[in-house]
Amino acid sequence: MKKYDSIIIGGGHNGLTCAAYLAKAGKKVLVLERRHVLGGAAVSEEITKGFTYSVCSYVVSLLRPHIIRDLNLTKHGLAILPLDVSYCPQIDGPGLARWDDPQKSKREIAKFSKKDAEAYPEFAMAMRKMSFFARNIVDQVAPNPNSFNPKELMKLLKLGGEFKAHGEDFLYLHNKLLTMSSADFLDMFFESDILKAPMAVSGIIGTFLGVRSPGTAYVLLHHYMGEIDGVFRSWGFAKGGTGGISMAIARSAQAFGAEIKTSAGVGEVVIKNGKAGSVFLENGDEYQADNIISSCDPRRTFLNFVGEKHLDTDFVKDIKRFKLRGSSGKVNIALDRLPKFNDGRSGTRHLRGDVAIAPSIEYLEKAYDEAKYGDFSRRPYINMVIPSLTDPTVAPKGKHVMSCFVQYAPYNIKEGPENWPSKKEAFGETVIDTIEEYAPDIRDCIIDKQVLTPWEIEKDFGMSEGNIFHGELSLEQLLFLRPTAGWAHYKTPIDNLWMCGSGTHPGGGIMGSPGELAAKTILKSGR
Amino acid sequence: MKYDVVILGSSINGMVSAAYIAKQGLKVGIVDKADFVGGLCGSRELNINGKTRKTRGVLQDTSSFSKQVFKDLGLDALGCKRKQEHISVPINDKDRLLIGEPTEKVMTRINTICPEEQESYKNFFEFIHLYKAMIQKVMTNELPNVASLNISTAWNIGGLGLSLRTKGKRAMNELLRSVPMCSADFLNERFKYEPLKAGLAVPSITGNLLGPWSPASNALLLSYYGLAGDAIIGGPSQLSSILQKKCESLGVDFMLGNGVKTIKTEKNKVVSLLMNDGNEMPIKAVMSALDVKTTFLKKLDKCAFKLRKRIENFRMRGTTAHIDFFLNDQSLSHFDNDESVTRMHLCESIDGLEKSFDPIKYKELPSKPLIELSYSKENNHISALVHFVPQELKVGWNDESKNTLSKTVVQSIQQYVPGFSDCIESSHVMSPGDIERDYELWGGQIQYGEFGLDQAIMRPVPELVDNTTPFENLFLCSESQHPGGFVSGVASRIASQKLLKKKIAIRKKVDYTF
Repeated sequence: MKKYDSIIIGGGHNGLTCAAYLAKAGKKVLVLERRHVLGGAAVSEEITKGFTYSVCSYVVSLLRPHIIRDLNLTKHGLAILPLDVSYCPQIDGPGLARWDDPQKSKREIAKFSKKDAEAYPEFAMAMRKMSFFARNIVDQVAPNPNSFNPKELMKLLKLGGEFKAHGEDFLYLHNKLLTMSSADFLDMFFESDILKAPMAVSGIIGTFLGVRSPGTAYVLLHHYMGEIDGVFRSWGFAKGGTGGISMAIARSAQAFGAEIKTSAGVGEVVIKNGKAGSVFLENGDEYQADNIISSCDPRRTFLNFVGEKHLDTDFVKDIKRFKLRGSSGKVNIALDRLPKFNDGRSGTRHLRGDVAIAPSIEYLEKAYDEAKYGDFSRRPYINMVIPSLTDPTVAPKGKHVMSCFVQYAPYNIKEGPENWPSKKEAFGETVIDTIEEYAPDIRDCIIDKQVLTPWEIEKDFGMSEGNIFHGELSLEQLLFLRPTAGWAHYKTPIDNLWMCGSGTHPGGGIMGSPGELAAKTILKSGR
Repeated sequence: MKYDVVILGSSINGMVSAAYIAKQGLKVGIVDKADFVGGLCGSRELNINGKTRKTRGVLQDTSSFSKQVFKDLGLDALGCKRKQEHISVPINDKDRLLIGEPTEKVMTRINTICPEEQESYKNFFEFIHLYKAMIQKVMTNELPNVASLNISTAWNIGGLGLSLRTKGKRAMNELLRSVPMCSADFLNERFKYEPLKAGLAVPSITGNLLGPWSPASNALLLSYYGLAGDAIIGGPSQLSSILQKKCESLGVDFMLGNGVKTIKTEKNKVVSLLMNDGNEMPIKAVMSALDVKTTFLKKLDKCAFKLRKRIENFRMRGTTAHIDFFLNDQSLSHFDNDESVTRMHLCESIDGLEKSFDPIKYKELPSKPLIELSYSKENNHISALVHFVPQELKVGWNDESKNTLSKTVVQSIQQYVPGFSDCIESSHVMSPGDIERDYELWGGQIQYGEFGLDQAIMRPVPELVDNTTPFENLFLCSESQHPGGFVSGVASRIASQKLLKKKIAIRKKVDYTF
């Protein structure tokens, strides 16, 4: 049987990134993907004929620039179109659009609050400063405070030194940012709800927290850290849908010599004498390698592919308490025409970015409160992107495709998650009902729609409990604690078994960092 | 100038500071707007329907009072005694769990009501004990100033880190992961029985805008249980009167019924106090036991812009109401046991606590509030601290809203103590706004500053972390300072040491050692 240097379980963007870096270093790599398409949750599919849906993730920002360069992704077809506007409609009013052009934003904000318009650039500068610092943390393997190793201690001291070098103001603000709620943090700068709410909401994406929950201001930063062509903070979407990103990485990996197989779902990792050496597919085929790398979430990796009997009780306990409570759903819509918003605005310029249903902090907090006790929000937060306004390849001429990210839809509904399918339709209707309040003709525009609840996200995409980040991004599960203490450096307790997905540092989002850092760690280990 | 030091506020902290300073032979005066001593812990005389009634203070938890301060001030010799306290958690109108250190009394109740939790309960306290020394070291000493991050701070933090690390990797990581968690997750990992979880969770959310699902609420839970020691017999009002005795025996003057209106400054010194009665008192040094926002934003006649902004950002949103129930002579047989004072938490489950918490975010009254009770058989009195009551109500605070709140509380108590409403002779309700006014406490925030990791690490703001201020003769000793929110007296001990070390005109040579 042919033996590979590395087999990667899962053809999501992190698995593919890991494969590309390993192949680039001359290793013989095989990627095994269960679905018939590559990309994991960063995937484009033609569910409705003629329309390309970015099925799960729908925007990108955090994809590391150095990864784009290292893997020649542009050459392989990666094209990211920046979102230069964020629009927050009102049921009755002009809504607020924030543009990349700061003057334009200031003018719009001033309509609601002059004080906020003045504070906006000051805030943006403070966030940028924070981001520069935070990027360092994201781009490196997490420092380990457990270790007495002088190298690790130096890393910690260096981090402390960098902190100090920025001065007391920076420390004060950073301390606040790391631990406050996004609503409280924004209250320090702004007063108008329609400005605060859509800003605050980026702090709760993919979490099981509300905008008033401590720690959400930090996640705000995570979403501000992005960069596209050197422009800070911008979000963008990939030409051809998010799948375009994964396909570019796949082409890069293949160009470096990696092999990729789809419809090749792994059933189990074979462990002999505490070492991983091969995988069995669901269909019985076996593949061997020196290294087995899983890009799937930690629960799936250890409890499904490996099995409790090969792991010590403490580790199993840690993995079992690793939280990955899914809280979001997705509705993808094929539109016959653009819906009209009740905002008195002309043209479609303001709709080319993201459109957020987030009229106030109270609205967002209420949506969260409902979900805490096992129900999807009656009036959810919805983030919509209409990529067809900028990318003609995703819909027929004159028609449109709309991605709706919806929060909150808890995996653990009170009837039990297995009852989600019976609530799927009601969930989809709730989303349309909500949009209808802002764009009354939406129902007339719908040709077809695809509804994904956390149940489908788990079943179809393999993400446990439908958590889009492979594990909640809460402080106790980050950095050297992700996925669990002692195992935050991509190694696992099983020799030759590694992890490279979002369940490792630095976490979820389309970053590519886990894949890259895992590959580099494996290469350094000499295996 | 008659006094070497004037202390603003006769709260526990105010009196502890007074005692430490007066012990060194300085002449101390305490001023307080209220006509009673002890602040939130003090017993107060109320006139209700023509009858004079005595309360037993607003706060009821004395388990955090510093052992060091207790010893330094010789409170034992004055008749103040300490004893382990257990909190009753009712399951129904008959059965009660007891929460506290796993003593025989506590374990008997657990064995009867939820025997499957025996092991977990003991493990929980073992977990706390593992880190108790560390937690106490952090909570009873000055905070390293993280904002200045100099060698000595790095050394202190490093030392803490090392002492944690020497417990073993797993123990270190268990603590590190437990700090930022929400108490719901932490307790759900260990227990199944809801009322037990809820009872244990209460100290992680009281007096704050936090629910059990709020991240970092577990840090407060760990701090509380780590710091908890024996309670003071007789409760906070007893502590208050003992401290008053101590102060008076050291020659401290109490000037009640006259609070400070303005603290007048010149350059970087405080020069005089303009009192509410119009008199101006020139002073040598001031120790403020008032909360940091009241001190800087209401009393000081000036404050630097940056400091002002930071203090404005120090969150102090009141979330508690208080009700005194004066009972007729029938003693409540269904309360709990034979203790002279019984404390009880009304809480059912983790989600129940979260549901109690939700409405405050929308400025609404809770329909099933979290209530901390203290029942004194001897005084026929119940003190009820009602949590998650908003400072501002959408419908506004008036007699009607107070009645609604009162009714809700009576109904909640009645559920576990049948016939309770028949035993009430009179009651006195305080909204957060009333607490703010009567106790000169910003927002009526009983913790003197909300708990949040950001507010705990640099409490209240970087410039004031060491209990000194930009004014060379103004010091801070309220619970707005570290460790904050516990009736510990630690801030007073630290602040007094600082004050005594500074060169102020003193009458005789001072012995700086304690």
